[in-house]
Amino acid sequence: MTAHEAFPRDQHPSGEQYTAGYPFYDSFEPASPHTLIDRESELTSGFRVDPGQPYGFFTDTTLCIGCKACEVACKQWNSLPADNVDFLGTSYDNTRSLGATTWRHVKFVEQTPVADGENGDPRWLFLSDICKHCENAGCLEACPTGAITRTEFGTVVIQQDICNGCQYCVPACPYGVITSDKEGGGTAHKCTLCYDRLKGGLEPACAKACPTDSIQFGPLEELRARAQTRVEALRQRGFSEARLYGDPDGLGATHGVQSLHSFFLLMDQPNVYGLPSAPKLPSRNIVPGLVASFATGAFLVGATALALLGRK
Amino acid sequence: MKEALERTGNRASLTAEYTLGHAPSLQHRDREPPPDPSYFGLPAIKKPDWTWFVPAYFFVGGTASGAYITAALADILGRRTDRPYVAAGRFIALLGVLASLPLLVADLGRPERFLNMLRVFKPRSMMSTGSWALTAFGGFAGLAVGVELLRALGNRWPVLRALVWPLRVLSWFGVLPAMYVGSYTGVLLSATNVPLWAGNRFLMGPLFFSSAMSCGLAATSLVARLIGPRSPSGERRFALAEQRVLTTELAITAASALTLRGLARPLLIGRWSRLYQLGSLGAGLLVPLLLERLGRRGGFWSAVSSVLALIGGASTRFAVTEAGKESADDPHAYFSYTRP
Repeated sequence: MTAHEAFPRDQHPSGEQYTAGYPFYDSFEPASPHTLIDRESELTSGFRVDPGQPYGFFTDTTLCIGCKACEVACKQWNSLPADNVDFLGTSYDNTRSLGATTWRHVKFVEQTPVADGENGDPRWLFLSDICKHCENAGCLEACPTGAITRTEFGTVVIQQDICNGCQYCVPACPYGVITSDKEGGGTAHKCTLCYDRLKGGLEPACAKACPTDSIQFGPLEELRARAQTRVEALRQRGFSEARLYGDPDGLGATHGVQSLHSFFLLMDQPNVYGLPSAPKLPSRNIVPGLVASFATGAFLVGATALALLGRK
Repeated sequence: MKEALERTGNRASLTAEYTLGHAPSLQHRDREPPPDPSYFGLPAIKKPDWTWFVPAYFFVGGTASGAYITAALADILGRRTDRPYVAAGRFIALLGVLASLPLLVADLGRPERFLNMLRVFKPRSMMSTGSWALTAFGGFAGLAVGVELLRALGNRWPVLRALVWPLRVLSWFGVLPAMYVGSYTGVLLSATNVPLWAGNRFLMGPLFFSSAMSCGLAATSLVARLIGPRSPSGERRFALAEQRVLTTELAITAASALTLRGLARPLLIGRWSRLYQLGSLGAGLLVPLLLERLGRRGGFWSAVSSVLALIGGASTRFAVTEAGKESADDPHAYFSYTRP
């Protein structure tokens, strides 16, 4: 009996039929026969995956070699199509941006410093971009249907069977991550931080595939400590430009975003990587807007009332 | 200041610096700071793929809310001769709500799931509170038309007349959800990361509400003229109200320009700038206010003003929504909005 016969694609080992779409909507037992190694994450990342505490990614861009294994692993595990394959003229980046079917995107920054009219040594900056799984997520707050939720691993996931494709989450993301696929199923998509894999005790696909450990997966607290050590080590070695992006209330997590569960170590200012330095949580604009609106409303209703009461 | 003048060379480019965010002066190009870095100039945020249904809803829904408020005010404060205005406003409000629903549903990626909008209530989502407010407003708009029908049927069955008064008073409370429907669309746009919208967070709601109010007054006046007998007093008073609302809208627009400065670029030189300048500023605000100044008021001229105000309201919704998408595509605008 082949493995396929033993576990047909559309059938859970319990005999339950999978619902259409993403497999993680059914009850997926951590130690189901699908999990080849029980709690595999402990072997690959060094951390056990237990619900109830926040997990995230620390993407150390100084270790990235731009191999795009994370992009491929993500597409493969999540069954995402290869799309818009073309030469774009933007360095080795032929992906262009995160999208509905691209949840990891490696950015290639080429820099040639100019000093005294002479070109200095060029350098590469790579950054494997991904959903930041914000502590206060603009998309989650904007979603009118409750389709976007916070999971038991502290991550932000879109429930595909509830999203109705209103697209309000799209401009609410300060990092341009979440995207609606109008041509496809009509709903919004983004990285799930491999919710299904976490449930099965596995490390997320991109982190597992990363050959240089530029993408590190683990509990948030320990990742932050690790990142702090790394930044200090780099600074001691003379890389004073090393900085963290997404630390609590720090660079990249300002104005209500609080912190990023998927954070980065950058070697230049965030704009160079296409990231905002001081993002703003969109919901903070609601109260001032409504107060001003109702003041204007009262004023205009009064002005209209006076005009209608006029003697003429 | 002296340095700024020196840098920009002349007054004209100083104005340009204040409105565009930089001085496009060739002779001083070498002294200009290099543009902010970005990643290949690619957009740093995503824009929604909303079709024309969305700005069309902003216009229709806004007009409906303005018409409802106009009808309620005319009902409470107006004279006996204002009856056609009350009826017109109530019918426009209901028709506007009925036209809004297909526009909103058709724009969803999954239209069959439109009821999921009422699955939860989230105060931090303008789309959620707006959906609930529109639902409540729809109920009130139906109620107000019900009052109109009861009044008509009361002539035949006097029993129904007893219902008119309580329902009429109840319909006045619809002014609150109407105000929300008229203004929330602007706040909804501003509660995003799009620089043109979010950079104007205090004034987007007021701008959309004043436009809703002017469109509601204009539509009500035009329809009342068609269905009722001529009433010079009504024409004058409703035209005066319209002028006051348009003056407020002009002031809010000017204040928005001062707030946004360089972020308003798509409305100055973008693909939608012509529509904004001719439709919203010219036809919608300046021409009606100028006609009033020139003494062209009453009768024919106030009808012309009303038509122009409606054109202006529609242009504003389309131009601001579409120019916002352009501003979302400009990483420099976004980085200047998110500068620490």
